[in-house]
Amino acid sequence: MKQGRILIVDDAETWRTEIAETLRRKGYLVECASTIEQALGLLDTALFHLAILDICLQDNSNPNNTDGLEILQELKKRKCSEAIKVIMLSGHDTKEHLRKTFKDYSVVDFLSKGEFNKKILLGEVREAFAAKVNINLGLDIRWQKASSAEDAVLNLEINGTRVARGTALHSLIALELEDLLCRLFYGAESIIVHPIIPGLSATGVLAIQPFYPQIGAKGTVVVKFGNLHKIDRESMNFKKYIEHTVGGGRIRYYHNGRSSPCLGSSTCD
Amino acid sequence: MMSFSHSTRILVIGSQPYWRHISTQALREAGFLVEEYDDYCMRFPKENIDLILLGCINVGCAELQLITHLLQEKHHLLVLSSYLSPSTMRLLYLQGVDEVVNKPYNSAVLVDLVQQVLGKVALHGMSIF
Repeated sequence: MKQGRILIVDDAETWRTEIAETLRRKGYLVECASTIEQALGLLDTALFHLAILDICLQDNSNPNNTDGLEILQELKKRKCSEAIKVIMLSGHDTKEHLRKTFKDYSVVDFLSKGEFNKKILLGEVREAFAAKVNINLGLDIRWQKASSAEDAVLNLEINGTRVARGTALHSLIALELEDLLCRLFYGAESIIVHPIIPGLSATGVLAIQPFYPQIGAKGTVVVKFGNLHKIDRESMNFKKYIEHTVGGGRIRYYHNGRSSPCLGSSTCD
Repeated sequence: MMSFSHSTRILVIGSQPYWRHISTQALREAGFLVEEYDDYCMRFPKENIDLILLGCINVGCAELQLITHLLQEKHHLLVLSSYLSPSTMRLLYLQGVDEVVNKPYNSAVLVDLVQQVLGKVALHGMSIF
């Protein structure tokens, strides 16, 4: 079973420690940041499903500080709002902050520190994972042909950088690929993954056999992942040169999008 | 800003006659098709309603019941309440209302607010489809 990954951002150490301990005891993988810089650094180098954000991140020395809102803005700018859900936990639960966070940034909830209750927070986190994060953490992923997620992401180009073996980016993107599969195959019990050698478009391509509870095996699904522009090019080449040879009518395209921080994906069967 | 008028249909629900009257008047002058209701009868038209404005003194049981009903009917809803706490706002946002603000008595402010909410509704519709 994979773990739900949570980022806590709060300048107050007591709050960070208390919440982190509570969530770790429930099996979540938790990392903490106390400043906007630390938070953005962690978002660059690690994978999260949920963030719990305070608004004022300057030890209350500046009550007008709204670094937490800037983190929300940054998540939106990076197009990560879909991949990383946010719960606000702040003492600054003013009407304006509520409006901004709910309406401009679609946060999952806004909890007041003044009325803090561990049970409520745990309930909100559980609910967020069940209803909003849409990830199948129990998915059993079996890689074929002696392959692995680490092999599948080699040579992808992510934000202008080529994924090379042994780098921090390599581990992160491999983790993100498995995460992406857990999101795409939300209802499946297990999947068998066959990496396919892609064309020249530098996208990753996987042929996946999913197995569903009670139904069993369903048709093979092709998942393309990587840079969204390159996926489009790969799909275009496929349509132009390959599709007619396998009977175009049988191919349905399901999804083009970005449910993962760095990886875009497209699936068809 | 996007402009909405003529074919945009709005329901104004509120038990305060003065507020209901000035709001209906202002929205009609701005070019909207407006119908007004003075109670929470829940027998409102179901189709072709672009936005419902619920004006109230505070959000109590009766209002919450009505809001739940309107959201279940998939209406877009703007709640205008004279007394509004952050916890009430949170509750209504979690329920899915489009906007909740302190009740304005200024016609221009109301029309501007309605335009903003309709703009967000239209944008949201575009991002989905």
